[in-house]
Order: sequence, then structure tokens, then C-alpha cells
Amino acid sequence: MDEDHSARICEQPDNDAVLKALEHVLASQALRLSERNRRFLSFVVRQTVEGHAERIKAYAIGVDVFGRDEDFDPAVDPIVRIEANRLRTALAAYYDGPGQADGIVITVPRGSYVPTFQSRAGSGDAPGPRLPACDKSAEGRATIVIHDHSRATDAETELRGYLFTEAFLSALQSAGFKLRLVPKRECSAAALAIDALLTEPGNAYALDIAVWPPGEKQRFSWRLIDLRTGEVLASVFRELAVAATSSFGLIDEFASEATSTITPMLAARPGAGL
Amino acid sequence: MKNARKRGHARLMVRWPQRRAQLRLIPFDDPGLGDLFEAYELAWEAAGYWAKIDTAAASERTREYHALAIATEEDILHRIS
Repeated sequence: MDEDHSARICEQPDNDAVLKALEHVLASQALRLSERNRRFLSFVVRQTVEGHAERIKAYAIGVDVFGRDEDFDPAVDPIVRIEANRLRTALAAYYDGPGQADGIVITVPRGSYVPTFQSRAGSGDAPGPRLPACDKSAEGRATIVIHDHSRATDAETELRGYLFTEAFLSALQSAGFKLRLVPKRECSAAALAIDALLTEPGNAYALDIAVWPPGEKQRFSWRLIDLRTGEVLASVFRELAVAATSSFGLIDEFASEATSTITPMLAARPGAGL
Repeated sequence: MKNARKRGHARLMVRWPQRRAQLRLIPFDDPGLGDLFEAYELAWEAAGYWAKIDTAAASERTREYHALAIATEEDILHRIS
């Protein structure tokens, strides 16, 4: 029940390693954390990695993660403070127990919602965590590279794209796929990620997703492509009326339906690993 | 913060008499559980605050915080089991 994980901490990891560490910890069943607190963790880590740590305030988290409206008042509605405490405790327990071999420790220090990332000495050859691909349970499963192609011109659409990505990550992860996320706004990173992926054994697919600009309805689309042949296996879109506070369920539902479509499709393909 | 932890710890002992002896051995500011004691107390206080307001939205908040208090209670009991 203490925080021994801090004793072996030594250096600041790079952003790619942090995102891999996030993916790894979110994939762990040993992390005792609700789905929305996984979103909370993902939100604060990604905002920090993308250089927007100054946006990480109770109000922004309440609105963007917990679906509160613009009247949200953290003083009488302490959801963020409560969930931050639970998140902090869950992370500490994870890194002291099942995650003690992880190369990178993510913490949310008291008094702040901005996470810190530190590498641990003596955690193996690589500075990052063990990747899901190294887990025996994930061997042979198809890999999907998710790339958000949205060209957001406003914060609202950018947020929808973020939520759509998160919904897909959660649904596909539950379905047992290995996942890779292409960082936004980094075209060279996209090419590198795909090159690296094709050197791995197993099946590799691209899931290109997008949220198109605002209006009364927004178009959410996904397209599944066989990375080795370029074959488009499916291309689906849906127009959703996304009111400020009610869109979480719609987006999650669409991603979940998409996963239900993708899973049997890939399982039926020659050499499928699912 | 310290008082919230203390109240949360005490509230838990009141609600769980059969775990009282065990809880008494854990200080309210335990490094691993102090945050959960605080979260637990804040959830009950928030549930109480919203329960006094007679609107549909407030009722929803009351239910949410009540559920959150119970979930946090389960977190604590799981940790000390």
C-alpha cells in the first residue's frame, strides 16, 4: 500500500515511449479502473504528450471526459477530484504489483491533474513497457493500425475525433486485436509505423477513421484496409447528431458496431489469427 | 484534505463494523489508502449536497455520487482484503 515504485525511477522517457506505456497500462486487466477513468488517464496523458498540459484543469476534464455541461462547477460537483484520487491509487497499486516490471511509470501527482512520466532503472533492455505483442495471449492476433484522418478546423470536431479514436481503441482492444495508433499531425510517423508493422509476423490491417466538420450532423467514417495488399475490406460511414453532452454513447455505439463487423470479417480471412 | 480522509476513514468504520478492527489498524493518511478515504468522503458529501436539491438533474447527480461512493468503498475493501 505504499509507493515504492518511485524509488527506482530515474529518467524522463520520450513521447512515443509514453504513448506505448499508456497503451500497455490501459490494456492491462490488472489495472483496477473503470472505463471512464481509463478515458480520464488517456485524456491527461495525451494532452500532456501533445504539449497541452495547460489545458488539463478540473473544468476541462469534467466537460471533456465526464460529459458535464458548460455550467460545471468543480466546487459542488467534485467528480474530477474524486476520480483523480481513485486513478492515482489504482496506478500506484498497479506499478507496485502487476506492473512493477514496466519500464515507464505514469503518475498523477497530488495537487495536479497533469501526469508525470518516468523511466525505471533495471527494468530490462528497453526503456518502454512490454508491448502487448510480446504477451503470449496476444500472439498471432491481427494487428490494426488506427489513423485518424480528420481535418478538424475547430475544437469541437477535434474532440469528436479524439472520442471516436478512444471508442475504437476500447472496442477493438476488448475484441482482442493488437493495436497501433498513428500519432496525429505526423505524416512521417504514419509511414514509419506502417513500415515497422509490416516487418512483424501476423496479419496487419489499417483502420482509417475520420470525423468530418461541424454541422447539424457530423459524418463519422471508418475504412478497413489490408495493409499488405491495399484491399479495402469495408468502408462505412454514419451521420450522427452530436449534441454537446449526449454524443459519447452514440460514438461508442458506432465504434462497437464497427468492431462487431470487423471481428468476424478478419476471422474468416486466410491465415487469420483471431 | 486531511479532514476528509479522517471522516472517510471514520465513515467506513461506521458502515462496516465487521471490518472495524482491521480498519483501525490502517491510519487515515495511509499512503496507499488515504486518497481513497478522501474520495469516499467526498462522494458521500456530494451525494448529500445534491440530494437537497429538487431537480431531475440533481437526482441524477445524487445517484451518480451514491454509486461512486459504493464503488470507492469496494475499492477500499478490495485493497484491505
